[in-house]
This record gives sequence, structure tokens and C-alpha cells, in this order.
Amino acid sequence: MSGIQRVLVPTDFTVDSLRIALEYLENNVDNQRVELVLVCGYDLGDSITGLLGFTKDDHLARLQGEDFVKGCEMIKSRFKQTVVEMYADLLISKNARYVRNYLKGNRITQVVLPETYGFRFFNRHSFDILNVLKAVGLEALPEVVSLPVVGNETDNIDTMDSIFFRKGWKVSYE
Amino acid sequence: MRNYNNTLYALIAILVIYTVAFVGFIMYSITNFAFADFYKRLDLRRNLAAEHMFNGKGSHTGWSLTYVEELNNQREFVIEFDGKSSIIHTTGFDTSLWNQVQKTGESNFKVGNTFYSTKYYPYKGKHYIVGVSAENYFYTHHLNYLRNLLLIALVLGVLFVIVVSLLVKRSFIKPINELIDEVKKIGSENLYLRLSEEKDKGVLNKLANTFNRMLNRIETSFETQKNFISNASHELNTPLTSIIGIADLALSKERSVEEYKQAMLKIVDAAEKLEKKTSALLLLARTGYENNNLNFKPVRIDQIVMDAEMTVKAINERFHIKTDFSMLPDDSMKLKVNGSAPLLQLAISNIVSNACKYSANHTAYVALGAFENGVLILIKDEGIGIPEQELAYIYDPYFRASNTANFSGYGIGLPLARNIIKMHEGDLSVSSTLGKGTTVRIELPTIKRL
Repeated sequence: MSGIQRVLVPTDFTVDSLRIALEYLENNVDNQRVELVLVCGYDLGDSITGLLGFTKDDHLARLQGEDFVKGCEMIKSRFKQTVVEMYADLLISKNARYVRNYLKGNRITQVVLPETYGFRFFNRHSFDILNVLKAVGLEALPEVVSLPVVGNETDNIDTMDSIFFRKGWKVSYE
Repeated sequence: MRNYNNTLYALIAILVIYTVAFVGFIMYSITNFAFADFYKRLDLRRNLAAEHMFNGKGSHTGWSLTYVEELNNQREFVIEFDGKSSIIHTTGFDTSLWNQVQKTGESNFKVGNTFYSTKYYPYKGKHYIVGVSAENYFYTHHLNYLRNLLLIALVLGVLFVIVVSLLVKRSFIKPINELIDEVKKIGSENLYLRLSEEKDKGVLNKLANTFNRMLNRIETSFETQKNFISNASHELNTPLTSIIGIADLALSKERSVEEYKQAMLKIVDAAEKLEKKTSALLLLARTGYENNNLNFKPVRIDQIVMDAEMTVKAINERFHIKTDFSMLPDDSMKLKVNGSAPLLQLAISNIVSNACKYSANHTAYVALGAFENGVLILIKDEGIGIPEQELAYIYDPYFRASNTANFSGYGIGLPLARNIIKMHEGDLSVSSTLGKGTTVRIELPTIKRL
């Protein structure tokens, strides 16, 4: 495979959800160079002042916590060879046509579907894009990568716990 | 402080002088205007009176004195004189004012509240002076009112200036005084206290921040010293006790030369141990705690973490450490931290050994990752945790949480580790759930690449 794949990875802006991206990158054995787009559903609302006054970037800056950004940076420095770029984006509608256009317009070549992952949203405007993507129809999507990622059931004491100490993590020595 | 006050008083004086000058200027210009205006009105009435007198009632101007508004106490007068200075005849003129009247032209003057306007007229070979006098109502009433008003305004203004200046002075000095009070509270017995820093980036905040950094350094060296002394005294005591014991035993009764030799050999043995320990302590002191700020060198944090783990395992073989290096970056430059390796190792080994000590399975989980401009070390255990209401005190030296009675310790390790991390401009935070475990997160800035 040549060129760079642009991969859509669903997220809910928690550090825990970065495990989807990690899982994807660890399964990426042939070191395909990728550009990760972390996408979350977000309803911009219908207030005219809100729509005029706030851009997508403002919303994104508010949604991404400090730890989330640090987690992203960590993944980027861990997979420096394969991850060309990594950024967050918002799907602002559940409309199937909008989603299809979004995928086409942004030239998404792969969509990651974490089948068993339970998103946790801390913002009332956010919505789960898994169902939206599925509603669009798998044939409309680019190449789909299904990953069996399970959400972290235990309550982490530190949010950063999520991307460490995952199952099967490498123990250096004991 | 004296200098401060002098500046303040100078400022108050300038403001007061300005206010007084302003009030004076207003008073002067209004009075001037009132006089000029009133003399003009008097001149008009005098001209009309003269016309009335010399031309009779059939004056062709079409209007006369009766049409003009009567002024307060208005009085017309005519003086007939000999052309020099002697009055021949006068109607209603106070002769004592004769000196002030111009004998050849127009003159305006004022006596008390009464204003005079006079003019010389030659008529049919005789010399007349026609004049009008009236009281200036504006001058007597309105200007008085204005003067009182300005005086009150002046007094209030000066008071305002003084009060505001003092308030400003107080608000300037207050934070400094607070800072002084806070610094006074800090002594050698409560070095863990810090000055409160606000969010803003003011000069005072910088000062507080500088003080706090200095206190960090002082506290760290204090603690290391205390630690060192308690460790050292304990370590030195053991061989000394055995030396004294052996000697006592040998001296308790008469013994053979062989027995004395044996005892001496044992004493030499113990003394050698003692010597080794003192030299080790000296080495520790030399490498670790001397000029630790000056010899910061680029060190690899993964190496330090591994060394720290080795140290912990060497101390207690029941301790297990599980390391997650899965997030190690591809680029090893991202792991380079500017710091002192022995100090960082001390800090990390302290936290790791705490994690092992306070958990039933004696296992610590250590993870390492690099973000954009720093590294993150996570040390996690599944131990007893820290009660939530005590989390605020865990950085105080000698503080031990209420659930640690069954564990030995002095309450020095965590404050020491935190101070070391702070010296490296890093951040140490602890989050914990009682009964579930504790996670310590250390963030250290990496070396900035040019």
C-alpha cells in the first residue's frame, strides 16, 4: 500500500476513547502511514448567535481536555513513523447525506467502528456517531475496520490510566 | 516606605494645587465677565440719560430710558463743574467720590456694591458730567452664591483627593503587607508553607512565585538533610553497638591473649563496616545533594525509571514492579530531561517503593509516555489509598494518612519527591480512592530542541 490513509476514528473526547486509536495503530502491522481524524458527533444547536459567534474550532477547543490532548500527543510520539497527522473534528449533523458528503469531502479512506465500545459523553450536545455511520449504510462508507474495543469498566483513579495498563501490555521485566 | 509616602504627598499636593488654581480661575473669569457686562449696561443707560438731558424728550432715537429695564437702585446724576475740579452744582451725587471721576472722558468705577459710569459732556460753554450708578445684583447675589459653591466644591475636592490617594496607597501596600505577613509565618519548623499565588501575572505574583521556588529549594535541602541525619545515625549506631558489646564482653573478666585477639578482630571487623558506611554516606552526600541545581544534565527518563526500579527491588525483594513501556516514543529525544539523575532516581524510587509498601500485593505499576513537550510517568498501585479529606496534606513532611498506622514510614518520601520534581520544573499530582489505590502522575518538561 502506498500513500497516506485518512482514517476516521470515533471519539468522545475522553482519554479512554483514545484506546480505539491505539488499538487501530497496534493492528496496523504493515506500518501503513495514516492520518487520524478523531471525530465526535456534536449538535451545534440552532441559535443564530451560537452559529455565528462560535466556529467549529471554538467548540473543539472547549471539548478537548488537557489530558485528551496530552494523550493524543503521546500516541503521536509513540507512533511517529506511522501517524502523519492526528486531529479532532466534529460531525455536526445526523443527516445521512451530510455524513456521506463529509466522508467524501474529507477524503476519508477508512472508518474505524469499535463495535463494543460504550461512549460516555459529558456534553449534552454530543451524540454517538457509531449509529449514524451505521445508518448511512456500510456500502456507502469507505473501507470499514471493525475493532473489538471494550470500554474501561473500572473507574480509573487518574484519567491517564486508560491508555496505559491495557490488556496485553508489555511487561518489560519483573 | 518613607519614599513611598513622600511620592504620595507630592501627588496629593499637586492635585490640591491644581484644584485650587482651577477654582480661582473660574472665580476670576466669571467676576471679570460680570463687571465688564455690568459696566456696558451702565454705559448704555448713561448715554440714554445724557441724550435725554441734552436733547429733550423729542429725541429722534425713538426710545428712551423708560424703555430700558431699571437696574437695582439705579440713579442718574448730573454734575456741573468749572472744567477744572470744583463742583458748581450737582444732582444726587455723593461729592466724596469726586476724585474717582474722570474729568475729561469716560470712567467706570465701583464703591462697595454700587457701580458708577460717568462721561464728560461740554454743553453750551458749560462743563457737565453725566453719570449713572446702580447696584450689581449679579455681583452681590449670584457671584456670592458661586463663590460659596466653589469653596464647598474645593473642600470636597481636596477631601476626595486625599481620601482616594490614601485608599490607593493602602490598596497598593496591602498585598505587600499580606506577603510580608505570609513570609513571616514561614519558619524552619513549617517550611512546607507556601505563599499564595494568584492567577494574574502581576509583579507581586512573580515575587510570590520566586519566593515559593526559593522555599522549594530550601525545603528540599532541609528535608534531605533531616533524612540523611536520621538514616546516618541509625546506620552508624549498629556497628558502634556491636563494637561496644564485644569490648564490654572482653573486659568483663581476665581472658587469654588468644581470646583478646579474637575480640580485637571482631572489633576491627565492625569498625571496617562502620568506615565503609560513613564513606558511602559521604559519597551519597557528594553525588546527590551538593549544588544539585547547577549540575543539571540531559538524562534519559526511561533509564532513570528503570534504575529506580532496580533500587527499589534491591531494597526489598518482596516488592514487584510491573512496567508498561508500550507508549515509549519512537524518538528517544522525547525522553531526554534536563535534570540530576540521582535526584530524579531518588524521587521515583521513593514513590515506587511507597506504591509497593502500601498495597497488599506489593506491586507497583509504572508507565511512561512522552507528549509534545514533556514526559509523563504514571505510578499506580492497588493499595489502601488515601482518604479524600487528607489528600490536601499529603505533601506536608511527616504527615501520614490516618490509615497508615500498620505501615512503617516517616512521611518524608512524597514531599521529598515532589520537591525534587518541582526543582526540575515538573509537576507531581496524586489522585486516590480509599481502598482502591493511588495513582501518582509525574510530568517533567523535556529538553527543548532548537
